[in-house]
Amino acid sequence: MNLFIIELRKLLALTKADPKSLAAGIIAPTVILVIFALTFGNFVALKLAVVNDDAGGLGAAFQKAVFSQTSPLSGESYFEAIEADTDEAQELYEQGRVNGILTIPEDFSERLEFGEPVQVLYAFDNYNTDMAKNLRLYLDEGIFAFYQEYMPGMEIEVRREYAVGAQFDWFAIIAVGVFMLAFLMGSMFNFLYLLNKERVHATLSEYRLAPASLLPTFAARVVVALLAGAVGAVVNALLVWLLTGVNLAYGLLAILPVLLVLGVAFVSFAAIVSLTVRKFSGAAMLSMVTAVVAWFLSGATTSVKYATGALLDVALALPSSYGLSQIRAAVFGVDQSVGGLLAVDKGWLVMGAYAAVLAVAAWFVYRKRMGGGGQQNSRLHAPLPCR
Amino acid sequence: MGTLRIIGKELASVKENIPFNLATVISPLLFLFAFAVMVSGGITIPVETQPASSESAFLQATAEYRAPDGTPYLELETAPAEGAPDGRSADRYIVEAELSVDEEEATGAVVHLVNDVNSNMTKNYANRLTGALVDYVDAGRDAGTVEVVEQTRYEEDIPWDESFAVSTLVFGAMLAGLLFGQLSMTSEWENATAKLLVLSPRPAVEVVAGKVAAAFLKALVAGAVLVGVVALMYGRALASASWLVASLCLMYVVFASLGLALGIAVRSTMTAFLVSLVAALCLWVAGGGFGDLSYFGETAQAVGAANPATYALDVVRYAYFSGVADPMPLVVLAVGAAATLAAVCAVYARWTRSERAVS
Repeated sequence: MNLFIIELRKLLALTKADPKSLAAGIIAPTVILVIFALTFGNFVALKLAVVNDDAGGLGAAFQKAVFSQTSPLSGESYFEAIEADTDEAQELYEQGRVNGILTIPEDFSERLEFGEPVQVLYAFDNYNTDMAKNLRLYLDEGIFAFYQEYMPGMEIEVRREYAVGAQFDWFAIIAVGVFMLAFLMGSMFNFLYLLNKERVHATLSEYRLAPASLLPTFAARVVVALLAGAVGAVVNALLVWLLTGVNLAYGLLAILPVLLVLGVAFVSFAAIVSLTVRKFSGAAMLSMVTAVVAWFLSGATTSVKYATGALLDVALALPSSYGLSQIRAAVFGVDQSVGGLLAVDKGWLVMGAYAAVLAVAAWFVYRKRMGGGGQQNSRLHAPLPCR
Repeated sequence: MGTLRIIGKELASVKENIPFNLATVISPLLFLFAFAVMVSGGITIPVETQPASSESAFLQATAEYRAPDGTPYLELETAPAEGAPDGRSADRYIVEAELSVDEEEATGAVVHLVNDVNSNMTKNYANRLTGALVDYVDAGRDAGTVEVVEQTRYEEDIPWDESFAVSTLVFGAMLAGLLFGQLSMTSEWENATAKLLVLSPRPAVEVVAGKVAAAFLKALVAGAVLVGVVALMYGRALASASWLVASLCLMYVVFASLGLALGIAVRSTMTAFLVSLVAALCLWVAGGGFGDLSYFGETAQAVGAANPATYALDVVRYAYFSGVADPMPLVVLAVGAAATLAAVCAVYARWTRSERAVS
């Protein structure tokens, strides 16, 4: 216990002396959060150049129907009209200043009044299937609204009902994921940074002389890493509250144990990778990148519910998927278990197993590299030249 | 000659830290695979229906409702006869009164039962239902319908995962440039050879040119691996290899220079790595790599205008998928590369004269 406290004090002193190990865990996720806020927190209408050549009045009615439909995502219109003639519209389109051109022909009203079908011309950039899908379906929203108002005998009724108690902005859902990432990145980075710092200062070799087990020192490193992660997560939670109004403190009791178990798993993973490979920095880097990639695959931007095939298999194999679903359930007060796929008991089993196995493995690697067990890692202990 | 020696030294130092150099090549690959898997489902999403699609002509038509390339918008699953949807359930379309469409009238009633708290998914399901309804009405009558004649930029919609993979090349270029650039300085700090740089009689321009050129060459190798993997995954022939090479090379110069400046400012490889990773990820998202910039607000678009990733994404997409050949993004990148290189020379020269250099 004594060794644990001494090591803890030393690591806390190191952290205090060089707050980079904290700042990096705070700044990096903050930047990520702000960028997601700027993009996924601020959807606007897509710009369409509209060329209305219609000689009658229905063209204007059609234009109004197309440009007045609002998205459940943002509450904004799907499209913003940029009125132009044919040449101007083409120029705007070529310059990439509009997403497409909607041209309403001269005989639009006339044909409709005679009960005939009409054609509109729709030029757009289909540079990927998702954007093309949106541009097509957003226009269909306008066409359907036009049918409902102007098509004779049109009496199709569409209602929207809710089986869930609330609707949240996409960014709010992503932001809660970034909060978890902040904790994991902060923890992992602190562990790696302090270890690297001691490597640079060549103080790691003193562990070889330790007369007692190094387990308390390993535990102290993990605890300090988790504390550092918690600092980053608190800062991030405040930002999430500021940007989305979502108060993570309400779910604190449910969130803390999840973060604790996930933190142990991820920090242990970082320890294994960085201590196994001879060169520390590359391995440490790879372990952090893996954590960010795992975060993306854990339903960070869209629920695991919509995952199929390989993506679903990967997501279900990651402890962070279960952790994220439990955190979101606690914060939003809605079932996020995806019908049992990410059930709470199953989640604890998966997260607990990861944490236990990785922690034990990390301890063995740590003991082997730092202490007297087996072959020493001479590079890890070697002082840097000319210090 | 001096520059060549510096390049040689920097390249030889790869063997000093092979894991770091390998990790720089592997990291973008990990992101590439992750993003490819993330969007592998394409634009098809599952939806529950009541009744079973076999019992409703409208639902049968909805099952066949597809994008022009034949990809279905929806994958229909019959909802249980009773009970509310659980967490696994997708949104549900309930046909309360079967749709009937002829030249005289169109009747029926459909309920969209939302079962996700994410408003983006609510939008997606609502759009698909509306699209299916318009499609059904258009198929059932002529009178008063509006046919959309499409004039798309590309003959076929570019598959989402392929478009994503191509945009990952830009992320990879930024990350590789930053990491190799920063390593060229942080390795000096860690090997305690920074002092030698300060004492070197070589002009700052020569040293910077050597370091940036070496980082550029390493990034080129990382980029070639990434381009090769994308080619293996999708097998698409390049529309313009020269545009791809030009854009990636300019990105390597910009980001190797920025990385070098980062390495001067942040002595720790670990810290510089984290800054590089986050910077590359954020610039990529903010440049329209994760979702088109036109979806986002004015601030995002203003930030995008100052972001090299925005221009590189335009050029790389053109290089793969053709479209409108606009040289402006390449010009902006070239100017940016020259300006960044000049700026890093100034930063380096200033650093060599500062007290901090020998502290």
